[in-house]
Amino acid sequence: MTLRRPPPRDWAASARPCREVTCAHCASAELLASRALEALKGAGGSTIVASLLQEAAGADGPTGATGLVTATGAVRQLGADALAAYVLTGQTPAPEESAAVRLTLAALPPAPRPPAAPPRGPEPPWIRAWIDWGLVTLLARLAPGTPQASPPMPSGPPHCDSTVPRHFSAARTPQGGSGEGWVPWALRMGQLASLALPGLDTPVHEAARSGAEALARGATRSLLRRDFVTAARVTRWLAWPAADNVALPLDAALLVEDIALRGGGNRCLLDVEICHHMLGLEDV
Amino acid sequence: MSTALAQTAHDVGSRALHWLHAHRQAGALDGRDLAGDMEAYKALLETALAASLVLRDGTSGSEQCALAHELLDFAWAQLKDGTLLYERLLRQPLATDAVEGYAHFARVGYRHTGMERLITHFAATGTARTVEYVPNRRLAIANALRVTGHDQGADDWERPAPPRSACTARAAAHCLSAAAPRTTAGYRPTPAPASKSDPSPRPSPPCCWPNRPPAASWTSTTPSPATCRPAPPCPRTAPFSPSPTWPPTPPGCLASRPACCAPPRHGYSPTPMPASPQTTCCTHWPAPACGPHPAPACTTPISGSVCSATP
Repeated sequence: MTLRRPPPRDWAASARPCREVTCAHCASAELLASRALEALKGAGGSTIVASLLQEAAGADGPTGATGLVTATGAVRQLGADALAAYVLTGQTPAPEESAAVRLTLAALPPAPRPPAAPPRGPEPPWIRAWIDWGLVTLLARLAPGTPQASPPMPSGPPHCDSTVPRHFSAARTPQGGSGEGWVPWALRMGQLASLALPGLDTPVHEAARSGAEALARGATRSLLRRDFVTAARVTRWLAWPAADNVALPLDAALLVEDIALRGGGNRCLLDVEICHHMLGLEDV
Repeated sequence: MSTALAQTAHDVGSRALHWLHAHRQAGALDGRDLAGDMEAYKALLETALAASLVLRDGTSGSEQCALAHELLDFAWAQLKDGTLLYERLLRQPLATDAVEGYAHFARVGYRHTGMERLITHFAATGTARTVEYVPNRRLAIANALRVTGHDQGADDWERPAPPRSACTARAAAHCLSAAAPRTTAGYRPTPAPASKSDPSPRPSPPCCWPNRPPAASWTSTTPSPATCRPAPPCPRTAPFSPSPTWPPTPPGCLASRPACCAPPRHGYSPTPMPASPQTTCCTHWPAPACGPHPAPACTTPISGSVCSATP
């Protein structure tokens, strides 16, 4: 007689499925990420943003502009990641490419006065201001010919405090007397991941440099929770100081490889590919 | 070993292999997931282990080799050409049975692209050295990594885990590329059968589940291999029915798949595996029986090498 043990629970199958692309903006952002990924691997076309906008405009027809607006939002959603291929491969964007990015900036102009950092000001506009700042700064650096009104740099993030409880949020202390726990701090850094590109150095980067342990904890936590999108974004902040030979408390190459093997989605894969480039890893 | 004893061993082994082949459908997954039927999964891997050892040892006759190939084809098709193993290792990185089971197939030339990449990562992470497995499991993992070509040295399982804290990303990149030199070079050549080509004899690989007899659940309802019904007729006159996904083999060609001279098996080897230039390739298998060559006899005596009797 054979004892039949109950089958082990398949955690992967029971876990929440990957975020499905339901909204048009997310679908457009995924498409743009796949274009940037191809360009980063050297297999894409000559332009990334311009071809996306042209296709969206062509799909709309002469009357509607829904697709074009959606594509414009997708470019702003990715922020500097849309231009990451040019930064990392050293290519110069074509004139129509920079014109297309400038068009998206003109359609949805960045806030002229960025709000205060999260404990004092609201968080989403502050993150949006940082993403916009990264896009504008990179565009000005890649296409220096035409001046672009650069918004002022937003203020730096709250610092991570290893002595407070890990879930401690800076919003509880509006005066900003204490730092944040590593969980909300690393998650916010993940939201700012489009800034983690070579050539940018801001207070956010300084925070990443000094908070390597919190970032490693945050990336590992996301990985264990099978949230590969967040893990990839936090890992970009680990790969950025690693390019400066800053000692990390974990093996960033193995972490990136694990996300590459088990993660999914074009934006996640784009983050992985950017990490590969910043870590100097060959494309595996 | 005396001749009579060798004959007895051959007879018992042959009957056991025939029994496994005749009852292979009892352990079929039939499209189910692995988590839905772990007993069938275990039976499939143990069947693959038995069949791969028959091919590795090279002392069996052509009929036994044909049966072993059919069993491996059947098990590989049941595992969806390795995809089920890949998904299991992907979803449960700490479960080592997928690596161990894949080694049985990799020993005789089956390959799965994703699985190769996953095992490279598995070896680079040092999961087997970091997680506290029991010693026989660690030995099995080390052997599986050796068979699949992902080991990092002879005493891989003796080495302690490297200190992670001192490893920078640059050094880690170097470590990773040094630890997995085969990732960019594509597939390594098909491993030549170990008994002849391996200069240093290694201990016999452990069983996947060494403490339990293979297919224990079958024996409760069917006679034991020793008292099994007689061997099926000659495969040339009555070809076996292969698995439905496998194209039917023409009569007379059942014994025509050399273990390592074979071309890449379609469906699970995107890049052709380079044929091994050594002559050991044909020492385990008679000359191809298809085409103008005469087909080998159905039962080959165990005495002497099979290869020496081939034209």
